[in-house]
Amino acid sequence: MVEQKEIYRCSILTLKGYTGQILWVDLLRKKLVPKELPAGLATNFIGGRGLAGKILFDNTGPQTDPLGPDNVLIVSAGPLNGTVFPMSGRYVVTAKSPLTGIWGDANSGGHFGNALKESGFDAVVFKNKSEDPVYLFLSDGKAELRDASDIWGLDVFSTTEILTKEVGDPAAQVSCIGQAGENMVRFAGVMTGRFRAAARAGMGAVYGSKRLKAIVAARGKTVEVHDVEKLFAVSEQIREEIKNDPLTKGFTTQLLVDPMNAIARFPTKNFQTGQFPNAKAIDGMTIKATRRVKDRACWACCIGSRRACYGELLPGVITLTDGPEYETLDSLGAMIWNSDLDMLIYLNNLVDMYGMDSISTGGTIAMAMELYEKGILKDEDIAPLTDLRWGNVEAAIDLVHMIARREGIGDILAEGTKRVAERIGDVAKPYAMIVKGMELASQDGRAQKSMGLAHAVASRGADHLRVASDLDGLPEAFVNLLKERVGAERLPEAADPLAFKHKGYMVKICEDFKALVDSSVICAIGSTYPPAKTYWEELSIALTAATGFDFSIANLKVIGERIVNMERMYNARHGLSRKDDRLPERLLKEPAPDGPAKGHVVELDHMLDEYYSHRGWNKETGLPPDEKLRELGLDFVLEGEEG
Amino acid sequence: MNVRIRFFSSLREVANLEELALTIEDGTTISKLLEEILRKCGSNLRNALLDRDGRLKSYISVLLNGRSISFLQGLDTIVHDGDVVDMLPPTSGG
Repeated sequence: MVEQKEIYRCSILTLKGYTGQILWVDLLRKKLVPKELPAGLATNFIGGRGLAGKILFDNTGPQTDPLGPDNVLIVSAGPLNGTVFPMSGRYVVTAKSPLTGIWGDANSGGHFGNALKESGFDAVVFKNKSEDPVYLFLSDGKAELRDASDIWGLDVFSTTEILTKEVGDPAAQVSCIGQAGENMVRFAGVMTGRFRAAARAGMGAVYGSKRLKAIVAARGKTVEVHDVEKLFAVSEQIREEIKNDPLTKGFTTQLLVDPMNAIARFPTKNFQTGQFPNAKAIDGMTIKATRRVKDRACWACCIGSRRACYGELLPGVITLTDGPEYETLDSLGAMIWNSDLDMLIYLNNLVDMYGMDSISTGGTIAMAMELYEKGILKDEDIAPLTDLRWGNVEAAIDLVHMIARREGIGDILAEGTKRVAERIGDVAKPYAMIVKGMELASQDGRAQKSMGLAHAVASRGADHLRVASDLDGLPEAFVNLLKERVGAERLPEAADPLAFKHKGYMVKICEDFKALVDSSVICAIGSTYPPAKTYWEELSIALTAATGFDFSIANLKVIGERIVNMERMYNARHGLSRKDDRLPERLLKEPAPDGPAKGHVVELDHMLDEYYSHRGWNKETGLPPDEKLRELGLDFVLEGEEG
Repeated sequence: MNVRIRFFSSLREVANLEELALTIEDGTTISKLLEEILRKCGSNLRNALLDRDGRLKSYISVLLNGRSISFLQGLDTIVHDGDVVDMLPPTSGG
């Protein structure tokens, strides 16, 4: 049994909305040290992604092995978590990514974000590696490392159930890994509430490398805010707007399958095309009509986008799950030519159970299937499997097991698409649908040019969520909103998903805002997915009311830009520049073969020039000049370089 | 002349059909076509497509042969024989 060490609350920051405490955990020495949240960290980086990012920047660098003891792992909430603000149950997990070797973070819905705050902490920072498996228990401002030997080796569902019982609090929230994280699968995720995944960039593998099985946060403390009436009023305004909006109310990403497929943005067969002929068999309306059990919601959510549903793999063999979300319906559906909804729901459950990113899992399996189709992977390479043809869902199920357990070819695929391609050689590289080492999300940039650019420039590699959402998918009647956000002078091209003009500006403003969403920490649904109800003004009112600090709109815009630039410079320290803002050649050179995007490629270089220009970055290098960094208060970046 | 109208996602449920084939006069605009569609379908679809003032709701996208009518002539766009009109909610997010 690990020695228990209690800690006690330290002095509290004068700002409200924060607990005022960051817990620093040395896993090797079992030392738990609470430190006061520095006011400057809160006011300059807000919380969540921004706050954790500054800690990552200060504590890791090019020499840090992502799976070594020197990597730091930060679990963080923001000032809106645990308050009445809508959709504020999210939290962020940050570390140097074992998948990409650069910036890494992921966030997840559920109730862990508010539970972390209610347990008395804004963030926890883990250093070093424990000798034995442990989990961290947080409650009432105190923390304790506990032995996890008995649950090491268990899946996410069992771990969650056992730990919830062990701490004796059914309301306690568990953030944990399954076997994939323990085995350091490079795209293992961190799971909460069984089905909610901080999926991307391999944060679960970092948990596993540190022998950290879970964090359990007991709820209880009220999050004190500065002006409860103002915060309540802006929250009610947003809730009322959502309630009266038939699109946002009842939104689930499952509903995107059908329309995305209609515009050829639904990647199929490893991005060979953007249209899946059997999309209707796996879309949200089919799930609603045939598999829906109930809709579920995260903390303070008035949308309820999580659709609990079931699949029947064999007669009487029922799989109950949350989701699958749009991305999974593509990555484990169209990407591998799977239109069997029961199989898809089973696969979704399996990746959740093992704790793996469904996007990277599906992307890696899809590449393996294409390599098999092209004769690059041969029968002897995939044994004991006997074929890997498109649509062989039984083989996909076997591969998920093998990847999570690192068995056979699964051990190779567990390294992610980039390393698989490097191992096979140049002949495989055209089929690696990655940016900066991370598998593309289910968004074909040939059908929506802003998404192509967003994936190319995102700090954690191929990423649709650094922008979420693009504004060029909006119907005609949103023209006033578009005018307001991108400027009338940029219409109509900015609104046209198939035009590349002005997409640099669009991606820039969306990235800056999303950095604030991820730092507050709230959900993209209702805040950035149009018709969005939360924008700069609402966030400014909410953050100021929650904290008592003057988070003016102008101030927030600088903070958003500061976070994006800091992440850019972190990657620059690892040698990244414009040459790495590159999409797979397939999207740049192979015209989309079907649907409205037929004949289109992504005009990336044009968009990059425009994007760098709006960012004030050097067009040759794709990097911020020193004066830009100083203007954003990022002098510490320069100090680090000079030092 | 003949045109096909396809309904996507939640609109498919409201319309209670996936696709509608209509025979219309030459020179028909999207606006006139909408009236025809609503004449053929029930009040549920009318409520889903039109706001209280009888205008197409803000969140509905209309594509003509895969291209948003926003980049054609909007509701005044003329449809031709063999055209396919798609009606879908915004395609945003993931």
